[in-house]
Amino acid sequence: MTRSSSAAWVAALGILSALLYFHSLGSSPPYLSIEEVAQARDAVTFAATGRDMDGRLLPMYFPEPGSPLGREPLFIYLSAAVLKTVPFSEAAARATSAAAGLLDVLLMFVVARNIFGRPALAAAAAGLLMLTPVHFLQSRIGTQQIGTVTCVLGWLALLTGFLNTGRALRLFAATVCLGVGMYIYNGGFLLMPVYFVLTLVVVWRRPIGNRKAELQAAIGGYLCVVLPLFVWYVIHPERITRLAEYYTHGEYNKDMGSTGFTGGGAIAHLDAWWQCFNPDKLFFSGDADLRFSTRGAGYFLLPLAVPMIAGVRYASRLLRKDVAFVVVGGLMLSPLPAAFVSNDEAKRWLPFLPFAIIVATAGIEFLRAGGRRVVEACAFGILLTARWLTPLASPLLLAAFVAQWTFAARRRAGYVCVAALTLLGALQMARYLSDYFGPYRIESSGHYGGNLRGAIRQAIANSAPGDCVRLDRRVYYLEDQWDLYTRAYNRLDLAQRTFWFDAAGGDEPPASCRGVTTVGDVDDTRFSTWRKTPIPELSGPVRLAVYRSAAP
Amino acid sequence: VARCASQCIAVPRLNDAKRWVLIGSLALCAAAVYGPSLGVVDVLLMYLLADRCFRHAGVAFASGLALLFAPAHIFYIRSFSVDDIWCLPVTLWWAVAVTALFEPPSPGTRWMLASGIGALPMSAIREPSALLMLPIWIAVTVLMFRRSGPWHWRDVVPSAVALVVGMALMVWASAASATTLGQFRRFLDTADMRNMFVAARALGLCWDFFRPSHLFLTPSAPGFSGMFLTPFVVPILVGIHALAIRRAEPRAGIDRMIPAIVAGCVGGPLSAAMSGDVTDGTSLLTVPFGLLLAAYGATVMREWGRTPWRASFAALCLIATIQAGALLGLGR
Repeated sequence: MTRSSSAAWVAALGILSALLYFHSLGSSPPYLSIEEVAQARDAVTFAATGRDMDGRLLPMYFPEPGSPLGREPLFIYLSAAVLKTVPFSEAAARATSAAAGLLDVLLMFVVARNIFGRPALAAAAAGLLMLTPVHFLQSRIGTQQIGTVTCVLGWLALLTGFLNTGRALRLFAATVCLGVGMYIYNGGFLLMPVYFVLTLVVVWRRPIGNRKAELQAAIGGYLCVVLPLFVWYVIHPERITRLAEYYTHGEYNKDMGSTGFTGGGAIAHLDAWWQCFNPDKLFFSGDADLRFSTRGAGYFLLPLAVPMIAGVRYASRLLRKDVAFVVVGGLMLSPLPAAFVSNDEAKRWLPFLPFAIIVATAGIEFLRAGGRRVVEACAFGILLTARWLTPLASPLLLAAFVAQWTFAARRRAGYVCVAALTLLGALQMARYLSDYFGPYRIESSGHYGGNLRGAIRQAIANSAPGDCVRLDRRVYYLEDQWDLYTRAYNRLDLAQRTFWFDAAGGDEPPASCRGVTTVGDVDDTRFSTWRKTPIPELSGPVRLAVYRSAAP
Repeated sequence: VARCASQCIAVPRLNDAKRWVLIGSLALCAAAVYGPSLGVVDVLLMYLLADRCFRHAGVAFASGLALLFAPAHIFYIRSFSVDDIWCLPVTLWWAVAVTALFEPPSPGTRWMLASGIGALPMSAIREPSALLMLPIWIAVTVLMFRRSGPWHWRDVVPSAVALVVGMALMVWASAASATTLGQFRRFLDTADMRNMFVAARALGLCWDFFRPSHLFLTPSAPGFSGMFLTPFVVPILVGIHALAIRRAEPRAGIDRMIPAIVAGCVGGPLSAAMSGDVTDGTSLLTVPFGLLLAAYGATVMREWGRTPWRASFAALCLIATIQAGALLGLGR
């Protein structure tokens, strides 16, 4: 019965997640961000040649023009595999992330079922993750950070399975997941060893019987995945120096270099850790950058704050001791990458999501059980949340609050609390999705550089073989996007005959060009006699145009 | 330092007269440091409050001393304006008065409570955000009253009368100054918590106020101190942890003060954040209630065992002394 109901839940969650996470994937977010372009370019090149852009076969890190660090390999390999099977499109470039998001939801179900034992509650946890704004949004971005959540969920699913059954093989597989996480994203590179140590502590705290074998399994699983990486770093120690250089300058660590970790600078890391838990970001507005947040909702839906507070407060009572240790430890340690670089954007510490969802699910169970004081406190939370999320009049809300307060001691009062919170959550998510697929696309389009995709596609379509292309170097991100789309649409001939110009002039195409296509400002008078195709922007005003001349 | 700590703990052996001489000296010390100001009253009231919460004169003495050397308190006590500091002694007196609820009702305790509650509206005269704390303090009083056991509604009639009189006096004083009520009206306009974005901003600012560097370790401050001296981070964290764990048998007094401590620590910054202006001055209430939390944490640490307690206490005292010296500019 339990097994079949679990299968039904998994199927339902899988279908719902697929519908939600893959819907309009190519057009929401409206365009590829600069990071997505870089990753897609690596994937396109690797899919075509099996090499990186510098020509290295099966590279460990993919180099980027202008950045010596390189990108982590796993997601690029996976994206390349996708691009081997389907033609390039923005949706295909994001498909790996969306699939990771879908897998997260299913893994969350397994984790919660291992912890709480009830499929319905596990489905609630998975549903919560599916409808968590930051998870939804990050899963639709074609870069690798969402993969750290998948690895952590895999680790948690296997670790909780091990804690339930004592099978060392699961522990081995759990630490393998952590090892894999180190090939995905820089945040994971820092965080996975910390979770590995957490695993060792959990195993160490178990009864002494099989402790040695279990520790061996844990260490073995981790080492067998991390060892190649370790060897690579022994051969290429310069990457450590580059990492240190990169993350102590520019926007990171206030450009303080190594002094960012000593003296007065050191305390800033603690502040960054603290700021990660800022309720404003968690429940109200999310990240400041419009590419990572709609600014209309926080990382979590607002009604989730109530069970989350209850879950944190009573975690030691609601969860098994070893599970509580892992969950609270994981939650506290997740912001380490953000603290390390003094930048608290959610993408750096996304692995906090599963822990927060477990805590919230425990809180839901706690609220459902009811109790006079619990329901009274919950009623207050519902009153505030409803005031903020609904247009209902204050007297009506107050009447509902008084009624809930009055009947707080009733047996089913806890159910009413959970139902009210669910209703409010559904309302906020509906509003969020409507914003995400609607006005947010228009508002955020400028943060992606505008409709460069449209301009480049038009330029490629206009250009015949033997034509030359002129591009305005004052247009942000044009160079990277041009590089990607010429590779993706197999027009490297155009890339080789590309010439750049700016306000003062620039490289002139040679007379051998059959014709010239130009991408530039819509009001550029230098091309007033050329055939002009304006490129419409989502937000309205036209900014770019593609010009065509039959002769250079 | 260890010997000094032992002597502090041994203070209960002194009789009442000697204890008052000791705290009187402390007050004189405060006067010498700050000049004749409200700070002296604060230190005395802190001593009284801790004494009534812990029933331990050593802890009370240390609490008074801690307030004496709390960096934020020193800074605002020595400023010319009393706008920020004014609410502190009044609120501390209220906190002392509500400890009357720990004892069975008697004419003495009834009037003690009434005096504290009656004085409470006076705290709001200078600072509009303090007026917002007024309902919070009243709610805390009601909550503590409901948990107080032998107290009945008729026992708090003098307190209710005192509150009404106090409110009337406040309105009169505000009308006389012709500023506070207008300020408060403007404050309410900005602090409209029915609006989600105002609430989000207030919560964000309040959270920011509690960032570790601001509370305990500000690199640009003298002696690197924050609002508190850095070593207080340890007993405060222990105190928070101890408060979060429900005890089968409540400690004398302090466990019943939890609502007041929470309101005192969080309410000040939160009410100030609603107006978008969280400063140490508008949030000064956090200092005495935070120190009460630290005192609680210190008593818990003491239970961990004699040697670890003495060692950690000695180490923390040493660091605090050095930092206080740096803060006051000694050795320059």
